[in-house]
Amino acid sequence: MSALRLKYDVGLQQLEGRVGSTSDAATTVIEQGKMTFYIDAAHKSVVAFEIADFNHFVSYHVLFELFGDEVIREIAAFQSSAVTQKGPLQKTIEFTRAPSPRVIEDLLKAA
Amino acid sequence: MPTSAPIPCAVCQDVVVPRKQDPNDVIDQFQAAASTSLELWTRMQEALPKSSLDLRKVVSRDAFGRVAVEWERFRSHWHIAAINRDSGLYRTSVMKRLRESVKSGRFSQLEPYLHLALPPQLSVSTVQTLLDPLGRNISFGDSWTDRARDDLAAPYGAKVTSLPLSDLRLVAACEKLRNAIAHMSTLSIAELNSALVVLDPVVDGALVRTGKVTDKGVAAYLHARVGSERRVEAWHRRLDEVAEKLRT
Repeated sequence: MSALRLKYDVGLQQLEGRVGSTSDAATTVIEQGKMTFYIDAAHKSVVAFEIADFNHFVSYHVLFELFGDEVIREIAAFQSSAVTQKGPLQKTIEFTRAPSPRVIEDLLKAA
Repeated sequence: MPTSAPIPCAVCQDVVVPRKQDPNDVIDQFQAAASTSLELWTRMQEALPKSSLDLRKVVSRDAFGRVAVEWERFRSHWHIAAINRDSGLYRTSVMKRLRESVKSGRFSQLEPYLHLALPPQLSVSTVQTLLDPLGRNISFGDSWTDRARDDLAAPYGAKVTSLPLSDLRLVAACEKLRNAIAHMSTLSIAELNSALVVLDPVVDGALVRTGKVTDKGVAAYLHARVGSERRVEAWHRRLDEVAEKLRT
């Protein structure tokens, strides 16, 4: 079981997602539209991601490919409550499926 | 010539477009088209025997395709009409992009001396040409709010940027669904599945997919009855509602 910790910054309108415990591993930074991924290339794992302009964000496809149905459903629910400030600005999502190595490879290739 | 008189289209020359366009009229046109599409769908459903389920599904898929194409045309025309109505921000945006393109090109030293002499009133045809010289619809992708923020004056831009997330997700999913119907590619189906799972379960619960939608399952998804209406009807209704929210 892994944890994805989400934190929404109202002022910056930015989402930060952190996977697992804090890692000291060197990360490769990959920008893709409004998303920035921090990837541990050695272990082929996503350490963190940020989404700018989160209050208008609708491009869920890469997150869907990485994490699957349940996780993006939870992120979308968090988005709906956090950007309208009707809910908490932080949330932890637990998930079992490891982020897709194929998608991580594709992201690294695009870096 | 009165300013509202039609002029030949700068792109195709033979299609006459009005010089001025009220964005609210574009909304009316879309809503009329959506209503006609739904009426046609109803008539065809009534004309088909109950046993022709496969045909009924195809009719539902075609009706969605019709309204989705109208929707994309509407978004493009509404954007152009909004710039035509008030081009202040768009002029700034064009100038900025022009400066950036020159700055990063071979004649970067000329950038400080650039001056763009756009006509005082940007006709519909001129706006269309500036946005896409080939006369295609604007391809917004998932960046509708960005384009609205960059190009449209306050009352119009704010209409788009203040749409609730449920509406923005619906519009994104509409495009993915249309692409899936048109292309049937592995990517388009995957993008469709990601867009349908993040629809707002409170507002668009009926449109949220319950299982994975396959290329052959798109028609079944649209024809499924969820609650009091079939999904294809809900799509027509919701797009009509979003269009209405853009009215000034």
